[in-house]
Amino acid sequence: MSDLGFYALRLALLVAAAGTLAGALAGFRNSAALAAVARRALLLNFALCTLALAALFHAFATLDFQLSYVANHAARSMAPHYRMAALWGGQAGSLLLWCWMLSAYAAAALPAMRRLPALAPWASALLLGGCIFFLALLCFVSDPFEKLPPAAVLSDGAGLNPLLQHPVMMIHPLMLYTGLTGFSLPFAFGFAALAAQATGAAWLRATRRFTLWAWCFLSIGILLGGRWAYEVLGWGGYWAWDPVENASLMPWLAATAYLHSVMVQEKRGMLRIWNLALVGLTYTLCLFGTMITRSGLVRSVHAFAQTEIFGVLFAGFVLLSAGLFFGLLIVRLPRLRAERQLESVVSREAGFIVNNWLFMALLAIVFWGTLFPKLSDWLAGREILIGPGWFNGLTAPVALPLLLLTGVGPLIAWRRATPAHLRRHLAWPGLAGAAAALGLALWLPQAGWLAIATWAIGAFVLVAIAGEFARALRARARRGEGPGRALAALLRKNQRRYGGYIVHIGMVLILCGVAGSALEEEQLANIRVGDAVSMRGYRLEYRTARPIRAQHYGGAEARLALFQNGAPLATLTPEKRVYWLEQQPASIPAIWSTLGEDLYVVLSAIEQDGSATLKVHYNPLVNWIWIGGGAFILGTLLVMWPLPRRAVPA
Amino acid sequence: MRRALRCAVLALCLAPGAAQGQGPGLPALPERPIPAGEGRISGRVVHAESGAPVAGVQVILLALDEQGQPSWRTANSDGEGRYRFGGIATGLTYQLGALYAGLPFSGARLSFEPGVLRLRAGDLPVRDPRPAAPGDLNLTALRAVLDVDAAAVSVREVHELRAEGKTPLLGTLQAPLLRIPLPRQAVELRARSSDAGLELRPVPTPGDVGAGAAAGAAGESLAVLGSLAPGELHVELEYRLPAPSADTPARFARRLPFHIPLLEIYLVDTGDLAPRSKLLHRRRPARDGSTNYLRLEAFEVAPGEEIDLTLERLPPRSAVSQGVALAAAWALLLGAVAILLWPLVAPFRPRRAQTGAEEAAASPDAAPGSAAAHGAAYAALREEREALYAAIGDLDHDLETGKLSAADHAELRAELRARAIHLLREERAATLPPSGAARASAEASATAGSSAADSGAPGADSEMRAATGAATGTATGAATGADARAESEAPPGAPHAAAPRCAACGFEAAQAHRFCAHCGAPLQAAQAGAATAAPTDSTAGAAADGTATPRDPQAGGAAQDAASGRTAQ
Repeated sequence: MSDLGFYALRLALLVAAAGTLAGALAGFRNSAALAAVARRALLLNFALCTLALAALFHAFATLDFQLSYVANHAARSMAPHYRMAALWGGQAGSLLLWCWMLSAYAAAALPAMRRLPALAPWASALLLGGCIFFLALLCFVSDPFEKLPPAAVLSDGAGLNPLLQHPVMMIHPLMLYTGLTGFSLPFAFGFAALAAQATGAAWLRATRRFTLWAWCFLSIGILLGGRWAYEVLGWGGYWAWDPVENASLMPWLAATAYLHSVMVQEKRGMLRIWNLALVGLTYTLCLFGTMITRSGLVRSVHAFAQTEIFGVLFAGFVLLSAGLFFGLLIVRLPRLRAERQLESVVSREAGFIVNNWLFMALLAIVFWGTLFPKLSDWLAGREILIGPGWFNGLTAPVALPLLLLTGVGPLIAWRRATPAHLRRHLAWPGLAGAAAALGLALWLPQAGWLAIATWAIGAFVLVAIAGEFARALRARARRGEGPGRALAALLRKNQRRYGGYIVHIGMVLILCGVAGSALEEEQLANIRVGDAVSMRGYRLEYRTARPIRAQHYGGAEARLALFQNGAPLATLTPEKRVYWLEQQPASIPAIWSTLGEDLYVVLSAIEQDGSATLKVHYNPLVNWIWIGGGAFILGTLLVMWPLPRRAVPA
Repeated sequence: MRRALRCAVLALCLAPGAAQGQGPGLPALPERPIPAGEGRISGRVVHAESGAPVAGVQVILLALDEQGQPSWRTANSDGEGRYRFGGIATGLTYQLGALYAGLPFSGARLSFEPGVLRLRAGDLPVRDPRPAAPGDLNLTALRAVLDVDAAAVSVREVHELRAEGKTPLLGTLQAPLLRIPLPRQAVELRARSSDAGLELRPVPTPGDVGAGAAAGAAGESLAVLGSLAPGELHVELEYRLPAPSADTPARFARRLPFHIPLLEIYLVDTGDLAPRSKLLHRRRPARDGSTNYLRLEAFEVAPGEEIDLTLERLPPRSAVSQGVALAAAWALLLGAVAILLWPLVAPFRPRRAQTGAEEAAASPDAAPGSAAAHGAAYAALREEREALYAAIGDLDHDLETGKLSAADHAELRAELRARAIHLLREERAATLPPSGAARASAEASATAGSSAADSGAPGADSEMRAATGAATGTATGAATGADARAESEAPPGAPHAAAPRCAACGFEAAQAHRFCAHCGAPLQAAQAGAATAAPTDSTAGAAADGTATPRDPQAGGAAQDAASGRTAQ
């Protein structure tokens, strides 16, 4: 079976090359037959990539340690589901997964290509061109089907990093890849629209759901990554501005900007160039992020160790893709003039433009901060690392106006808003925001102005969105609909707008949760049995420690009795482990989680004298990040869910 | 150097025959003469506890030259315990040692100061061994190397031991230094110790100490006997166990009566072994030359705790042969080539009936005017029209929720309506091939097309509202009505008496237009002029007009449904 996978990959490379050639020729010569060849190549490429992926899955399922990749990433002792997830635990397998997803998206875009036949050849060529790169990497640089010499075949494999053997980690990479590869479709269609000189709104409509789909999964991936870091890594946080984290955040920022600005093109025929540029930027950042993760360009706790050739090849591909897209965009600039100009700075389209500026500012900060260590190394010969403080200090002042726009934007009318209209719609939210700011400044002055401003603006946005719902429900009530029916009708018939509001609610909750970090506390204590450590009304009493002797790891766990204001709450058992096979230490935190706060306890060590060294974190509002994330995903699903529409007859 | 010297002394002391040398005459001890000189070292051998001189002890003086080459000389202590080494070079560093009761003892390290020719080494203490007691000799690690072949499992156990304290130990049959249970199924058993002075003798295991089902062979143990100096040593056991077969796995089972801080098992990996153990965990494989080892490990094994390792042979992989895989790859290649080339070699093959959109997809370069081009145009127009309906619905919603002034709403709506109407017309034209469209237009121009004119502008407006209704989703069948109306209205270019002019903006419209292409307002004059052409449909138009209000697209849609139904009839 692995031989079949080996051949399937090589064949897929040939097919992708043939399809790219056919697509490009079809685009130039306007040939139906060649376009049909390109379309068939998309399907064939998908089938062959699926065969290769299935072969690798089969190799993992049957533990075929003849394959170097399987031998290095699986072990007999691993549970079957983690064995399968080990497929994307290393370089070659995750590249194959990426390539398969790319081919799957390309195949899934066929119906859209049928609707836009003029764009199909170019889109096919670009999608298959991307596949060529990944397939070439898989065939010649990082082959998942590479076999070990017979004498080197072992009875058991080396296993997977134990920190990755976590339920969240089974799906986090899948979500992330689904998101990152998904942006290939708007990229390919945008390129095709430029190539075929059909830059109307048709390509936007054709790829809108794919873009949302990709964005939704990228968001889920980022959130799951944060959740995993919080639960498994044991450093007390969920986001460390690690380059690999930033690599997934950058395309998300660009895509979010695009999802907003595309509405301006749909509604007002403006920002066509900008939207195309954002589409190009988003996918380029997806590739760029993948490159820095895999090439070892930046230092990261979860970057793949890689050879230099990998980085060079990937950088070449990123430059080629971006060069093709933006080069064509520049060539077509004269044809891309907006249908209209901005009529007023107080209008929804102006709001979207400001929104885009802010997203771009965030992107620039994250980009600079991610690459600065490398740039400083290149320019000054010394790698200057940038810590989370730098990112937090710069991003927060940009994120706050963005949050404010989340509330203000939907209230402003298209074209222009009158002062009376603004007064009417902004009065209550403004009042709520001001009251929240005042209350918080008096109640929690230690939180600092940034956190108070975040929460106050959050209150403003939530009241504004509630007002939007209330006004819409009142309007429907005038037609005699009850509140429940009216709400359902509202969400069903205007899913983009009201789903979008739910996304905004999710974002507000996430940012409010993040702002809770202003009240974070941390304490490092060494306590003997019977002693206690206290923090914020909580008291942790060290009862005992006992050794852990599991099959795959050993270590110790401390048993701690948790009290709040004298009342017993729970027993917490943070662990310090060493995974035998991988010789990897890990601190498994114990978390007491409530809606308001988390008490996060890490066992640093059980000392020789039996005392325990504990690190206790007080993390307020962390749960609101996950709750907000849930609302965020729910809203996105609502926006893109294909509700049945009344068919418009031909 | 001190460490090297110490090792050398011990190695010298442990040389074959040294253990027997307790007095003069140690013929087996090879001599390597120390370079001659004028130096002299003397000292005394005493008993460590009593301080009494000990006679007949072999004292060894070891030297290392600059190249690291050892040389040595021996002497025996006299009746007063004294010894002397004369005529030795003064430029070297010396280490003293002694062999007493078969045990090595380490003495002082010496070197001559410049100008000094005689050195007094002081007392060299020796001790009498005492009977071993539990805790005197402890296992620090147990390492086993297992090699599985077709005939047997070869096992080599290395017990790493440490004799604690400063006093030498004496193991006897009654109280051996250590008793290592022997495996039950072991054959060809051999044992050796790193201390050649020790005796390893199989003895019956007394009582029931550690004798479990998997323990010693018929209750036998290996007793470690003799004198033992403090420090480290190891005892090796080599034996063979039955090999695993397809039905019966091999088993390495040990239960030792002492604490094992570290247990390591190296299994020569043949690529088809599956070791299983509850106690042992896996470590990264090790490699030595061309041999791979599976590595298992356990910490802090308690006395009497069972070490159980089952070794199964994995079934051979039922792999597809290389030839079959290659054949499948060729088949895939040929299939892929055939699939890819088919559109090129058979572009004019008979096709099944396709919808317009599918045809368009099949031939993006279809000639203008072909059915395929019309299908594609139709699909694109319909999609764009749907988007416009949604935009109009949004606009109305903005007005309803007070986010848009009435004036802005009217202006924006008029723009969208104008575009939607334009699309409706183009869409209709794209639905049919040009010839058919023209024919249909000509036929319709006298009847359905004029029905709207008969009902006047409000009727036409209801059509637009129906379209809006479809966009907001509130009008059941609104789109149907709108489209049906579009189908039945006058085609572009149909003959009319006079070019209509928009009453709202004065824009001169095409004759067939019922809405102003500039501002979207209904073109009343044109439609009023054509009113008499189709009196049969006027009622439907009037009904639509009568029931639909600008704020009630649902009603408009319903009315339009009725209108379209009648038109269809």
